[in-house]
Amino acid sequence: MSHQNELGLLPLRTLYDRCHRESERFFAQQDNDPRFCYELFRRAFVHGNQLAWDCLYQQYHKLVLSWVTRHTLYPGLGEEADYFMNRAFEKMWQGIPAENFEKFPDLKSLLRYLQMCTHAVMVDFARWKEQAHLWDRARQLEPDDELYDPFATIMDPDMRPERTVARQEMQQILWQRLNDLCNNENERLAIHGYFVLDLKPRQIYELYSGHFADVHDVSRTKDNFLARLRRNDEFKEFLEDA
Amino acid sequence: MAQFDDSLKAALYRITCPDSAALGHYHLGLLPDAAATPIAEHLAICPHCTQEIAQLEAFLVETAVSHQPSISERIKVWIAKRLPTGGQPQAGWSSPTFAVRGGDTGPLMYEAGDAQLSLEVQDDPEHPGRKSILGLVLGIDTANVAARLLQADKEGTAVPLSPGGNFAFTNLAVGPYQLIITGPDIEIHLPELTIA
Repeated sequence: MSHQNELGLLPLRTLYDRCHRESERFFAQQDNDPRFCYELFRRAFVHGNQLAWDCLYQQYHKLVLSWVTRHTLYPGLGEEADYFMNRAFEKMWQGIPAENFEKFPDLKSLLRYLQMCTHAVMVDFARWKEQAHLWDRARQLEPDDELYDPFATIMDPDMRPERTVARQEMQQILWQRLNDLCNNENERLAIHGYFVLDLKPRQIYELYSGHFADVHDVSRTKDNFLARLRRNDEFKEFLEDA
Repeated sequence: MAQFDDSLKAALYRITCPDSAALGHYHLGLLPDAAATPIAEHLAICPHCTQEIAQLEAFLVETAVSHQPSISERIKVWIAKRLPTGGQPQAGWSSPTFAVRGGDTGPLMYEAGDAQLSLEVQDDPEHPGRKSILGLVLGIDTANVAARLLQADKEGTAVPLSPGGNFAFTNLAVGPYQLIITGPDIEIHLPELTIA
């Protein structure tokens, strides 16, 4: 029987105590044994053991909090560190199905994954804030005119980034509709660069060198498409139905 | 007109970008080729995702947890298994749970890797109503080896093994215990020891 399998017979309480003790030794830069913490992860993910998951949360939540506060995005996000810490654990829990646990051969790889999840939830929040800012900007221009604000009804300012699935589905429908209305590849590249990537015409020209004659060609292509879009009755109906 | 542009931009902003977890899986090399290729192609044109990957890389470096294999990973961790009379492991033992009652059993024998462990529970003559455990460990170098008896969450006292491998615990209440024997390169667990 391998040593790791032997650890599988230890009571959870013993594992947790040893994981805690070995982690303390690790952070004191002393000789330490990561196998006990790894076994806790294995029981949580492979066996779906909720108590093992609770132990991991107890063991690592302060470490994750420290990661959150050290992230370069954190100062600008305007949200409590606890919020990101809890989302990071959720993302990890959802991200490793039992059959994929073998991709993580040691504790280092699991903690690296938890770090990735911490980064990901903060990026999700930053993306959400950027998009909310774009909506605010659109509404400030002509606050009374909602004719061309097709998703105003579902863009709830209080909707958190983890609850945006319905909105993303609507956005995908809109994007597909616009793609269908493009007459050629250049129009597709221009509107993708302008609306999806939020690039300036010069950046689009440089990104797709060879497709456009010059920077003005990018602007002209995009403007022509928008003019045609505004005259398109089917698209107007689509916006009203949305 | 400006609102039309801006509303479209708000509605479509980064709609073709992989979600943050997909980017993370990509960066950690966890995606199969079929899923990684479209992300690589997207990164070639998307400055936002490229920046997020760079942020992730910097974050992983900044917060790196370097769990290098250390000396103590070479320690052998063994779980003791009870042996029946005759010395062979009992077939079908899925758990090392057992109970011992002072005065009505002989020594209980266990095997743990190279080690053999004998336990005898007796009534403690110096503490009426309490128990004692006499133990013997064979098959390992007993220098700097100690036995520790834990009850529930309490940290038990460690007693050193004699050169012959003997140890004793006295004045014990009935109840569940864990016995752990630790040495410089071994760790033997007897996780569920119930003294009845």
